[in-house]
Amino acid sequence: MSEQRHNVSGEDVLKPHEYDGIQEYDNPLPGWWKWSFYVTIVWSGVYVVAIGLGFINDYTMDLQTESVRVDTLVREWEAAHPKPTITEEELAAAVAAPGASEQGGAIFASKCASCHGDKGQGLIGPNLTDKFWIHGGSLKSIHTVIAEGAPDKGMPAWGPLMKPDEVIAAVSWIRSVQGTEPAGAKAPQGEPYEGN
Amino acid sequence: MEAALSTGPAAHASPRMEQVTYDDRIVRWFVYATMVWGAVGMLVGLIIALQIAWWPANVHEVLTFGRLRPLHTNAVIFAFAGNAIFAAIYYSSQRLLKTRMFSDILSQAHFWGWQGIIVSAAITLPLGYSQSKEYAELEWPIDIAIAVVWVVFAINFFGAIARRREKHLYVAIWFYIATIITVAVLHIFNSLVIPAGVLKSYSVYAGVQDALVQWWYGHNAVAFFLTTPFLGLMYYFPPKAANRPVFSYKLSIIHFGSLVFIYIWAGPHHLHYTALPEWASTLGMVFSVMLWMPSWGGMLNGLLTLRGAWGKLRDDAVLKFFVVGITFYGMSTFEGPMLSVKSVNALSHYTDWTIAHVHSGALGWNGFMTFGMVYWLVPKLWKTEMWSKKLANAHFWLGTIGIIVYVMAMYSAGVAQGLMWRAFDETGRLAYPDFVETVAELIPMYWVRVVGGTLYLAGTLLGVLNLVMSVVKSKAKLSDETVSVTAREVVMGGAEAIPLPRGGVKYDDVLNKVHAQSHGNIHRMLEGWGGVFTVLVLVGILVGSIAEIVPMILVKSNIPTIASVQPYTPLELEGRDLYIREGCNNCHSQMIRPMRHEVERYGEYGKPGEYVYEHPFLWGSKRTGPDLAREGVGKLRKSHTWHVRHFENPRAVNEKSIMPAYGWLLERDLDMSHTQQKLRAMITLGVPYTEAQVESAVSDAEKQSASIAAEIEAEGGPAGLANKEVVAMIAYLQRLGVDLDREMKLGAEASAQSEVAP
Repeated sequence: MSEQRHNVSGEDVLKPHEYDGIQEYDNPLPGWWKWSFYVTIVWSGVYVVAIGLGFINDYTMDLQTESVRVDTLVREWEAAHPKPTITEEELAAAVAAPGASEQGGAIFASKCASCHGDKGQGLIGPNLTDKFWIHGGSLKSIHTVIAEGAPDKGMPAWGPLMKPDEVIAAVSWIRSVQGTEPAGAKAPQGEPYEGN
Repeated sequence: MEAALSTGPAAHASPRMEQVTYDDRIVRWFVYATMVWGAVGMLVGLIIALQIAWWPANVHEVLTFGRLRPLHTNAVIFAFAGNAIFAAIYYSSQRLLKTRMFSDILSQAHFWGWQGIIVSAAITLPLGYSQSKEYAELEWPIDIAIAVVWVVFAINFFGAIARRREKHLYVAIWFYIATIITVAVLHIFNSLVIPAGVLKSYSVYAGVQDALVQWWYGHNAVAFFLTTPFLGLMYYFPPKAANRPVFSYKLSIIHFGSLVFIYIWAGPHHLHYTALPEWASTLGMVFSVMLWMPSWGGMLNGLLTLRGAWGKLRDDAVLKFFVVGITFYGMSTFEGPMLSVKSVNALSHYTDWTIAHVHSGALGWNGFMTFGMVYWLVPKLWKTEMWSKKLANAHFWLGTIGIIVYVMAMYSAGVAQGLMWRAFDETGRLAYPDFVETVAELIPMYWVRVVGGTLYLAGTLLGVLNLVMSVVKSKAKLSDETVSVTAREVVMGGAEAIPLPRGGVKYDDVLNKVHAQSHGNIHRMLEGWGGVFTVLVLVGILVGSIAEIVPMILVKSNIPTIASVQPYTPLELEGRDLYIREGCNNCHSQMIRPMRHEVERYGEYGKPGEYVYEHPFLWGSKRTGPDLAREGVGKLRKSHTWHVRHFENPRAVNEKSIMPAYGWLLERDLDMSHTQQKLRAMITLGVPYTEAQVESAVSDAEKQSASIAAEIEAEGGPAGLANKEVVAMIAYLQRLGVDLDREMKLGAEASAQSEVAP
């Protein structure tokens, strides 16, 4: 532009036009503003080329990296903490450990009671206090159903959501309510288990 | 109707002058509407904030969060901000163009038409008539009314430009032109539907394409409804109020052009990590980053225009509102590009961080610019002083503190929840596997938000009171302002038309004429050519639109086919429509992102081919509740009876749940009177239902409903639910994720066999 931007006394120079009393200065673009704009444009070009050529991770590569990290975490933890054995005898010992049933009661109240009732009397899910079991009444069977679920019957798998000792604690509490005959108990479902 | 133009004695004495009377009455109406709808829209916002903090506030079917949230967003965007920009445009355009609006009848049709649309929105949205697409929920007859009223507005505005007595268009007018043109394009293309009833329709786009078009619209509603008209407002009212020249004419040219061209590309940043092909996401991200400086150009021109007026800030509420409003514009237009960077978005998406972001823009920028304008206009329009300057200052401080409290609460809630979702513990399991734990953690912050919202609303109510009292106390007889301006033919000097010689255009003549007129400044010349300027703006916004949308619709490889994906059964389709009616998508997403923690929590991430029959898409944008994309498969599948009990009372199966109870779903019979019509509409959209399926649609739905009801009874649930709405909803939820799951199991079997074979 040919007009001067500052007059002799160094003040900003006005453009000659005026709209409803509003005038405009003939100030140039602020330098930092202009250069920041250029930088974002160049950065954008670089990003598009870089992701196109694989220098920047795309979604699937990101997922892979993260999965490797978490899988390593799982492997290392499992190596350091061998899975509690699930033979009937060892499970019986773990279930009988002091405090297991109390811990299990808290877990049951927050995660299981909504379907099995606060006393295990059964609601959507079956009654857990009688001797009838749909998937078997041994400690190992109960443990398996909690950990792996019974998707066909609407029982979710809690293994991914609970730690191994929490599953055992839940089994412990369920065993502790056997034969309690709470009020409003649901009718028997499944086969009787006489193992106790 | 008053004469738009009177030729008084003065005009005879000096033939080169004309008198023009501006239509100020229409501006007064828009100001009233702004303040009334503002208070209403913000009150609804406060109610839904309370519902999140305290679920019993969902007191009635038509007042549940899912139905009120669209009412809140529509009310504050289109009723509050909408009426505000109309007030701004009608007041400033007449003065900047030195002409009355084109037609008083069109002005009134615009005003009453728009208020009618708002009222119909306020009735239909709580009743559950919704297309589910955000800020575009209104059903098709209202969409048509919006298009008609917008055309009325456009004729009125461009008619005024055509009759102007100011040769060059001021920067505010450029922004208004961009607003009117672009909103029309966005609204029309995003609202294309096939009706399946008087107040029911299906988007013509499906899945990935629908998502892209929706967020092209949604993002640019922010751009061209909440940004460009307010920038126009900013170029008129703050310089008038401060009596200061605009900082830089050159900056206004550069930031206007770059903002309008770049904004339209940015939409896909709302769909990062979804099934939208990543190339579109990448475009959305880089254009958002490039948008940073064009936005800040506006902020700079606003703030630097007000420099030198700082002394007036102490007791002038108008300038205070403008300064803080423009500052919030600067903050949210830095935050926007930041949130659009994929790795930041990975944390913020689906959380309250987004809510914080939009409210710093809406409350800070749109709200405060509006209030500044209203406080400045009242003395001019009602010829009186503001009733109470103290009250105006109190409004300012309540508003400012309200915004800060609101956004701080939502930033903490958003970041906290985002971090909880992605956290793994030392065993490699999700640290917070139970979604509701991450919600319960946020309840205190939801209460803080209620406090912030209350403060802001209280300020607005003070504004309403101040307006009413000023009007009541005004003793002046209201009249329209009349000014004497130089006659049009003198001003325009034939600049609009380049006369073409008989016998065809001589190229050199045109070029010479252009050269002579431009005096070496092309933009200055364009400002004298309203029509050409408008066409260039249209071309500018179409470039990005076409570049992103057309390939997504035409290039097949963007959406690879998945063989097992089948259309919904009639009952599932009806259930899906109930999901839309209740606004479930306002709190539940159906789009699992390709992230380890999401796959762990919800199952396999979303694939483009899964959504080919999804008219409209229901991916959602916020997870107040968990994602539902795989609700019917794997570890997330629940028994039918679980769902019945959950709808009846979510607390019965999940004690910390904040979801409203949906008891009426268990009581009400499913309306299947439109089922066949719905299937036919789907066939029109290319969904492969056969004529036989249409014929037996109702009986098929009844059969499926009876069978689900029988299973519920067998599971020990309530009897007699056949044909109740809840069963359709359950049928739909149990279907979610099933198709892809089947495909993946087939794939796993096939690879197992091929390993055995050799």
